Amino acid sequence: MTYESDEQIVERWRVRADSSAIATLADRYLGQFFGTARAMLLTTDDAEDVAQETMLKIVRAIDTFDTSRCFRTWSYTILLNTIRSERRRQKTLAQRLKEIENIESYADADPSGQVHASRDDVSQCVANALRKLTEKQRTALVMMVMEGHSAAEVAEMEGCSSDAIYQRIAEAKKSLRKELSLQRLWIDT
Amino acid sequence: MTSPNDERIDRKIDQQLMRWHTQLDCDAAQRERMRNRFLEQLAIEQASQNSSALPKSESRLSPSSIANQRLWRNRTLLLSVAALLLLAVGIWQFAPHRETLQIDLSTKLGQAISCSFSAEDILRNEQLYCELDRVFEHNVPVIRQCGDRVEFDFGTRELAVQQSSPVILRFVLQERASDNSWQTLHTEDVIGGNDQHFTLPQHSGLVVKYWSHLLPDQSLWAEVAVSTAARATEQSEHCLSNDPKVVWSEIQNGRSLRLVLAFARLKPCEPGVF
Repeated sequence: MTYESDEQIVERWRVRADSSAIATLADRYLGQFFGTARAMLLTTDDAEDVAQETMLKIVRAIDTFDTSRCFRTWSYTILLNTIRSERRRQKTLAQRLKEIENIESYADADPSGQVHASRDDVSQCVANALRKLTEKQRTALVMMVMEGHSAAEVAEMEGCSSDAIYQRIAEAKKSLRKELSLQRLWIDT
Repeated sequence: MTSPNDERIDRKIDQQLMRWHTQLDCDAAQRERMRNRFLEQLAIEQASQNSSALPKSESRLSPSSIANQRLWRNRTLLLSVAALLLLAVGIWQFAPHRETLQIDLSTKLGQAISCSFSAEDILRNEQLYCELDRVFEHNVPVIRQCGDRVEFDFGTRELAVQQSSPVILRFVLQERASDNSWQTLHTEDVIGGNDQHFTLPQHSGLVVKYWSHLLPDQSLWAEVAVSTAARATEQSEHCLSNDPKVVWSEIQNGRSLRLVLAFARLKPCEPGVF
């Protein structure tokens, strides 16, 4: 069976109105979106919602997709925008609810609902260190180091230059090198 | 400028990050659940696009029947409000500072309610709001109506004074029927001021938390958080007057449910006028 590229699947969907193409793209990307959202938001429940919402946005916007572009980069741009919206919405809601009911559990800084995947101390330390980075630094790190996108692709998603992405990576790594809770990991064993 | 030692640490950082990221991958069951949720939600969206728009108003009536109905409604309203006042004033004497009253208005409010507001709905609620506002000296910030029942909260004067522009909100829980139409399961109207925040009484396992702010252009910014036994979602909506919006939808055990929100502005009360 020959491999079908993302762009071919989109074409099948748009030109031939083949709805199975949507399911194929969902199979291919939902898990990836979930992992990225989880790394960016540091929560599990919200990551599922973000992954689903991103796929829905892709379906709604598929007619605007330029087939000369890379579908993966385009879809990740939508994912990053959805993550930003989710973060803003969480902050607003947490503020409102805190003002109204003083409910601590909605606060985005509350660690109780965060990083359910952190099964050990190292994972927790990594998550905490990532939380201390700026949003732009974390995005660059997650997209390039963890997701394997090129600097040019991340720059396109973020609407900036490749140099800016390299700069953010360098700043992020500098912060991580200095992170006290992680320093034991950097010692040669 | 990075030193050789920094570069060595950077390589370790990369390895550690990739290891950490691998732990975040979802398992097969989670992936399947997400896939099903997505396809269900997609089906709902596509069905919504294909079905007719939200019901806008009650069925059309002839001018004479409207006049008769208006006359009947006005009479019933006066009787209802008079009975309400007698009862409420008595209770008010003994009501603690922040207590909820429940009063049955079965003669008036048990009628079918559509998602949007008719002109008569708005008039009736303006009268109800202004009369309660006058009787309780601006101390009733929130009035809830559900079927035959009216509830209102006594708040502080400070809270009530902020309500310069009263609005009425309508929450409609609907279920998709076998003929693909949406059937109303539950309707709740809330009258309040510029800024609202409250939790609706639980219905069908749904806990609905609501916050809204009336914008200067008289549109409404609303945030609705819906929790079920399975999950919790929040949605922000920019609502125009009498333009219902779906603020939540979900499939539960094969049942398609949705929550519709509509709002309308009520005229501010004129002092001493009823």
